[in-house]
Amino acid sequence: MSAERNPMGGKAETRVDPTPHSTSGALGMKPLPSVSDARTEPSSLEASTSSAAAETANSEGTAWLGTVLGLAAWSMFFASLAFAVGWYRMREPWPPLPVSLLGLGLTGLLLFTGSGVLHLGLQRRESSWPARCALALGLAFLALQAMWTHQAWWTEHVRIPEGGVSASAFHGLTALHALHVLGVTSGLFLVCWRHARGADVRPSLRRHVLGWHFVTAMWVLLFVAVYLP
Amino acid sequence: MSLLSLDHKDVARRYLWSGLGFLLLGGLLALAIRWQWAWPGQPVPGLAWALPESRGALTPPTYTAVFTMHGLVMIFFAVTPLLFGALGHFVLPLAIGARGLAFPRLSALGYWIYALGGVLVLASFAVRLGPASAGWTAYPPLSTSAFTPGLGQTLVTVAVLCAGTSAFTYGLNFVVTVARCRAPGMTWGRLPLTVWGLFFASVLNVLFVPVLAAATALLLMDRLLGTQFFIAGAAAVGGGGDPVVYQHLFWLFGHPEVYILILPAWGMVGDLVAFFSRKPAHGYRLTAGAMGTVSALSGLVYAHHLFTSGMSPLLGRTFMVLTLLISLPAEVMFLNWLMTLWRGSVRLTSPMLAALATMVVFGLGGITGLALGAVATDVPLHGTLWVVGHFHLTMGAASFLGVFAGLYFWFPKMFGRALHEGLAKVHVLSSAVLFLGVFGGQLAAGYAGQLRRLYDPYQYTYLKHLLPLNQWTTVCAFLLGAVQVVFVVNLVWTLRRGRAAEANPWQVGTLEWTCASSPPGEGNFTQVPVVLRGPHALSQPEVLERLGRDWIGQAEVLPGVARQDTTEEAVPASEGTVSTVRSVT
Ligand code: HEM
Ligand SMILES: [Cu+2]
Repeated sequence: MSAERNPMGGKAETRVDPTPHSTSGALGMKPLPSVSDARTEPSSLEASTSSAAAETANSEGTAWLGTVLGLAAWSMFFASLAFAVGWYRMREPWPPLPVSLLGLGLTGLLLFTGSGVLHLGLQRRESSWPARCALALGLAFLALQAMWTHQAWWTEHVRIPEGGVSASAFHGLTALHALHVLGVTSGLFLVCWRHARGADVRPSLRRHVLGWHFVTAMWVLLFVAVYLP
Repeated sequence: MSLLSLDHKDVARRYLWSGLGFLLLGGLLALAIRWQWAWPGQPVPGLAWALPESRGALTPPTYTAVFTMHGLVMIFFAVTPLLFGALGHFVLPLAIGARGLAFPRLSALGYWIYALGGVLVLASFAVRLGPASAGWTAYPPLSTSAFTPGLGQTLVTVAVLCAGTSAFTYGLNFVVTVARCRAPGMTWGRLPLTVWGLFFASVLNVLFVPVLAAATALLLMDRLLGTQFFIAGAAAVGGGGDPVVYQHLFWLFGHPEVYILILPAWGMVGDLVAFFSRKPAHGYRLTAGAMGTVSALSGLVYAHHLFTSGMSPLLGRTFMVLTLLISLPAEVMFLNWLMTLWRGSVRLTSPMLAALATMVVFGLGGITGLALGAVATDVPLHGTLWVVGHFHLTMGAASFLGVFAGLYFWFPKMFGRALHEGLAKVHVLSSAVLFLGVFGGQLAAGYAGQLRRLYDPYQYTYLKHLLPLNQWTTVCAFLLGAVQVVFVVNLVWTLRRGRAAEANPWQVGTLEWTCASSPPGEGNFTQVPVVLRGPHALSQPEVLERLGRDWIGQAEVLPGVARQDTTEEAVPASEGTVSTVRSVT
C-alpha cells in the first residue's frame, strides 16, 4: 500500500502517461529500440546524408571550441608561474642570466616560425609538409633549450639548489614549458603519422596548430618573466 | 555496466560509488579527530589494528596526518566528485536535452585520472611515515621535504594533481556541452538553475584549477628536484624563495574552489524550492545572474585568507571590501529562494527537506563568514575553530546536504527505483540537526579561543573549561556518523528490492523527467526534445485548465495552443505529446 503512495502526497493520478517512451523499468533496464515514428522519418536519403555532414561539422566545431577554451584556461597555469617569478623579482635583485639572451631569443623564434608555417599550411589543402616542417622546428627548439640549460648548469654553474630561486626559475620553468612543447610536438607527430596512413587529419591538425600557437605565446611569457634581466 | 563505457550515466555511477567510498573514509577520519578532542590520547575504539604501538591512540604525528587527510579526501575525493562527477555528469546532459557530453572519451578518461589519484591516496596510508601531514592546504615550508620528508606527502600531492586534472577535464566538458549541445529551443533562459550552477562552477574549475596545478607543480619540484621556490630561512640554499607565494597561489585557486563546491548546490536548491513550492522560481534571471556575479567576484577575494600572513594594509582593506561585496549577490539569491517559498504549496519531500536544510546551514555559514571577511574581526578569529565551524557549515554541511538533495531527487532517474521516503526524511532531518550541533559546537569553541589543529587543546589552561563542550560536540559527531547508516540501509535495500520508480515521481517538467525513461537508455532520448518553455512552469492556470495538472513538460505541447516558434520538424500537436525533432544518429 505504501508502495503506491506518491511521494508528492497527492493521490496517484491515472491519466495517460505524457511520455510515451518512458519505461519505469527495473534496474539497468534499457528501453526498447525506438519504434520509428513515421512522421519524423527522414524523407529521403539525401536529407540524411546532408544532415550527417552537418553533424560532423558540428562535432568538429565542438572539438575546436573545446580546444580553444581549454588552452585559454590552461594559460592560467603559466600566468601563475609568471606571477610567482614576478613576486621573487620584486623582492630582491634578479641576477642576470649568464646565457646569451640573443641565443634564447633566436630559439624562441623557431616557435614563431613554426606558428607561421602551420598557419600558412592550413590554407593549403592536402599537404603535410607544413606539419612535418613544424615537427622539425619543435624538435630543434627542444634541442636548443636543452643545450642552453646544459650550458647554464655545467659551464656557468647556474645550479639547483645552489643558485637559489632564480636558478630554480630558469631550469624549472624552462622544463615545464618544454614539456608542453614536447606534448604538442608529439601530437603533431601523430597527425603526420595518421596522414601518412591516409587518414583525413585536417580537423585534428587545426586543433594541434592551436596548441602550437599556445606554446609560442607561453614562450613569450617565459622569456619576459624569466629570461629578461 | 562496463567499466569502459563512455556513456555519461555510467561515468556518473562510477564517480558516485567512488565518491561515496571516499565520503566514508573522510567521515571515519573526522570521527578520529573528534575522539581526540574529547578524550585526548585515549585509544580510539576499533583502531588498535592500525596503530598497534599506541593500542589505537592517536599520537601527535598520526593526529596531524588524520586531520590533513580528512580535509583532502573530503574536498578533492568526496564532495567535488559527488557534485560534479556523479550528479553533474548524470544530470547536465539530460537536463539540457543532449544525447551525452560533448567529449565522452574525455569524461571517461577524467574518471580514471581521478581513480588513479584515489589509489595514490589509499596507498599513502601504507608507506613509511604515513600519508600527507601538512594540512589540507599543504602550506610550505611544512609541506616541503625539510619538514615532511615522507613519501606519503609526495604521493598525496600527486593525487591532488590527479583530482585537479580530472576536475579540469569535466569542467571543460560541461562548459562546452552547455554551450554547444543544448536541445533545440533550450535557450540560456530556459536552463534549469542546476545547470546554471554547474555551468558557472565549471567555468571556475577550468580557470582556477590550473593555478592549483602550478602551485602544486612548483611544490613537487621543491620536494623532488631541490628547487627553492617556497623554501626560505635556514632550510634555503643560495637565496631561497618565499612560502607566501604558495599561499597566494593556493588561495587564488582555493577561494574559487569553495564556490565550485557550493554553486552546484545553490543551483539545485533554486530548482528544488521552485519544484516543491509548485511555483516558478522567483526572479529566475536574477538568481542566475547572482550566481554569475558571485562566480565573477570569487577570483577577486582570495586574499581574505591571508589577512594575517603579512600583506599591505591597503591590500587587506581592498580584499575586505570585495569580500563583503560578494555577500550582496548571495543575498539576492537567498531572498529569491525565500520569495519562491513564500505562499507556495510547499511539499516537504526528502529532496525539499534537504534543500531547505542546505539553505539553513548555508545561511548560518555565510553569516559567520562575514566576521571573517572583516579584517578587524578576522585577526582574532583566524586560526581558531570559528574558521573551521564557518567552512564546515558552508562547505561541509551545505554541500553535503546539497549532494543528498540531488541524490534523493535524481535517484529514481539514475536507478529506476524509488528510495524509501520515510528513511530519506529521517536521514536528512537528523543529519541537518546534528550538523548544526557539531559545527555550532565548533563555532562556540572557536569564539572562546580554541585554536584549530591542536593535538591536546587542554594543555592550555585557558581552554581547559572547553572540554565538556567539545565532548558534547563529539557526541553529536558520532551520532551524525551513526545516522548515515540510515542512508546506507535505504540505498542497499532499494537497489536490491526497491519498488520501480514512477515515470515522473516529483511531477516536474524538466526534460530528464518528462522525455527520458528511468533510467535513460543509451543516447538518453528516443528523439531529441524541442523545448518550448522554462524549467519551472508550475501551477500555470491554462495548464491546470487544459491538462488538469499543475505541471507541464518543458517540451510538452499544450493542447489547443498555436505553437509560437513553429519549426519545420515540429510534430503536430496532440494531447500529451512531447514535441521532438528527428534524431540524427
Ligand atoms: C558570505 C560568504 C563568505 C564569506 C564572507 C567568507 C569569508 C571567509 C574568510 C574571510 C575566510 C578566512 C578566515 C581565516 O582563515 O581567518 C574564510 C575561510 C573559509 N571559507 Fe569562507 N566565506 C564565505 C562563504 C564560504 C563558502 C560558500 C564556502 C564553501 C562552500 C566557504 C569556505 C571556506 C573555507 C574552506 C575556508 C577556510 C579554509 C581553511 O582555512 O582551511 N566560505 N571564509
Ligand atoms: Cu575564501
